[in-house]
Amino acid sequence: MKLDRAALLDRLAADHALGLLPPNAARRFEHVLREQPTARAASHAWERRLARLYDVLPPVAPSSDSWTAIATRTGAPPALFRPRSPARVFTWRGLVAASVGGALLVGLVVRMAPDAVISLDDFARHEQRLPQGHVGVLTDARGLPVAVAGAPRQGTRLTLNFITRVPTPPDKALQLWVVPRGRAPFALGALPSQTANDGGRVQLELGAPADSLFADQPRLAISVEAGPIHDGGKPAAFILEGPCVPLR
Amino acid sequence: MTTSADLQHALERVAIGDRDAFKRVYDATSAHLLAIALRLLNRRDLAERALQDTFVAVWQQARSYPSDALPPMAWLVTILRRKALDRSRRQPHAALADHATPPDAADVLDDAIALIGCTEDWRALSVTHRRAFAWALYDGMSAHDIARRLNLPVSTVRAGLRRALAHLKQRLDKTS
Repeated sequence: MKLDRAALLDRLAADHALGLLPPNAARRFEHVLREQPTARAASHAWERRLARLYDVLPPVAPSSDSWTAIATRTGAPPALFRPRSPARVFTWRGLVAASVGGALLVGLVVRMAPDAVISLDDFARHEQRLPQGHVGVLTDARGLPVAVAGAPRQGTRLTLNFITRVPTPPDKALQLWVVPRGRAPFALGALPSQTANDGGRVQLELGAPADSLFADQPRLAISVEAGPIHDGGKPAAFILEGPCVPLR
Repeated sequence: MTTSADLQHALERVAIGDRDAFKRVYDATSAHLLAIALRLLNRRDLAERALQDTFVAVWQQARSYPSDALPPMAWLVTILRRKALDRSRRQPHAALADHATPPDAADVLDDAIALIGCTEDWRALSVTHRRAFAWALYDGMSAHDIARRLNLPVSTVRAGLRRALAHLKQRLDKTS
């Protein structure tokens, strides 16, 4: 029996929805789905039909760990979940994709809250204009600034000011990271939890001048870690993240 | 109670990064999704991980949710099934058995068919076809797995599954 095109698509869609296609065939069909609206329609129809057959299963409540794991893997622990302003449409993911937006945000924070931007004295004593240096704004999951980092261009000390509190479990520590473009993150240092909890200020000694560490305009990020990070260590999920840009 | 319209609206909010909406979707659907994952994987730890994989995908892919073509729960179930089957097929089968023996898949399917209201028609199919379909749907078995269990050629199993699918298509579309 030779199937017409619609019947063949319907059969493939059914097999795909039920998980019967071998991996290679499934990949090929997924390519077809991306290209052809009729294939997508057939696939959605089968997904809708099969989903109804699960209505009979009695619900099973997940453990509380599941939500915590999801929150961590999607970039924000539950403690950071707060109501979103309806007018605000930025997310931290949007900021990841928009370095220009990041630079604007840095500028905005610098102008709106100059005291939050660290070590103006370190940058350029007695100067009225913004000094040369590197500034990073770390935002939470809603895209709101939580901490501002800065270092003079040739300086080896970075200052981090927390604008708002970052609740940290007593047995965990915050860790600051540099996330270079296209390379693995590396740790800059652990932050005293008390500092973040109080919305305070902390200084970290850098292993090299800021100009060389931040040459490729990397991102800065903060994770919550269970223990100290050794050389080459990998971060847990980032809870705060943002661009680090030069101020010229 | 969360309606399909509520869920759809929440998913639209998730698409623009609204974490409160994301939590509402989780609260409203996670128990049903975990039940499906547990049924497919028969191991609590793997099922919870498949549930987590699903919601990470929801957070990342909410912008591509086809709201005009698929009810929200059907979209979530589809993602969950794929995540669970990915995990299932990465594990040796012997490792998948948990302590509790789940209800027989064919009995679960009979209940589902009764819920939809087409028991008479469904019984017109052979017991073998019904069981094969139930194993694929609820136990995540591939056509090869089913063929081995029934000691039948894979082609015969595939033909039987297609017959069951064609049968269901007519009945489910009539009652939707």
